[in-house]
Amino acid sequence: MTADKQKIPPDPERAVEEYGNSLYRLCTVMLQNCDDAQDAVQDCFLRYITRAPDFRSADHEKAWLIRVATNICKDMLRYRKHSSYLSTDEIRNLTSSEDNAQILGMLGLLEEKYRTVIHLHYVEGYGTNEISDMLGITSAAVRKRLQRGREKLREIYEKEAI
Amino acid sequence: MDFSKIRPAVDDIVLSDEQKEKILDACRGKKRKFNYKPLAFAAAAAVTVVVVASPGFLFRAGSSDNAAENVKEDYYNSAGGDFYVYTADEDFSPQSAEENGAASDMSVFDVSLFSEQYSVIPREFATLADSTEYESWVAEISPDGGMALMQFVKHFGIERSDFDNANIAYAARTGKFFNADEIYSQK
Repeated sequence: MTADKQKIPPDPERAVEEYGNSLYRLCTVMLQNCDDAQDAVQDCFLRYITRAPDFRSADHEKAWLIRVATNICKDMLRYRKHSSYLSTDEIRNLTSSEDNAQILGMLGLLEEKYRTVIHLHYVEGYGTNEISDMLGITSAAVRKRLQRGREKLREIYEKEAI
Repeated sequence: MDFSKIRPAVDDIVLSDEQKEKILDACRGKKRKFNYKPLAFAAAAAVTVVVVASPGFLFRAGSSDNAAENVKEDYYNSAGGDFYVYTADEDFSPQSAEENGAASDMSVFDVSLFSEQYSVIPREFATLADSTEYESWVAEISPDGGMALMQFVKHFGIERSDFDNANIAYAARTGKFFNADEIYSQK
């Protein structure tokens, strides 16, 4: 009975309000395109309506949505013929200061696999084990990607500083 | 490079109210779990074929001709006997129809054919498999094997996403055939 009480039934209005922005940020960073990101978020919530399991907790629900969103983004990237980057104007529209715009632009220059783990770790605050569960890769691979991602970001930062 | 600046950099990326409403609108149009529409259309198709295309089929399906005749008579009398009541053509038989050269038009009246209706793979699904392999598989399976579509999916290892897309196309086609929009728009 206690377990049943803790289960969270799917509720799209609450979920969009609570997790919509997080998912939109993740998809924007992964896809580097606002329209595609919105489509991905919508697709994610459609899957939430039709296929969501019984969630044990709010954390479980959020992690499930993030895993679905990353899978959708990966599928979209797989079928995309050309690389996409947020334009300077788009970045300025999305951010409120030059510093933020610079960091968002730098993130866009990273490879997708590094962008995703950097985002999940530094923005969503997930640890390597949680990220490994979400992305279906080993913890060691997550740590390696974080390390490489940080190195590459530093390189890009130094080049931009020059 | 200060990595703690990454979070505030993306914090400004938020969905507008309009975008949220659009997502919720899409969610409201979706049903949870299984989509029964294609099955409903298929069932409607089977019932329509049986009832409309087989004169007297329902009456003759009973074990006693006399009982069926009594039911018809009671119904006619209870209705006051002054409006049209359908009566079966007692002399009709598929064999006689064939003998009269009407086989192509009348074959649907052969009740034994109906069992095959449940073994048909709609074309939207059939095209997911290689045509040569599909034809040889069709020749192998028994019409009485049941759930041909399930056998088909297992045999050809059809992907879930491909199946779902074919299902949507099948629902759209059958819905159009039965004029579903008009039926469902009537209150």
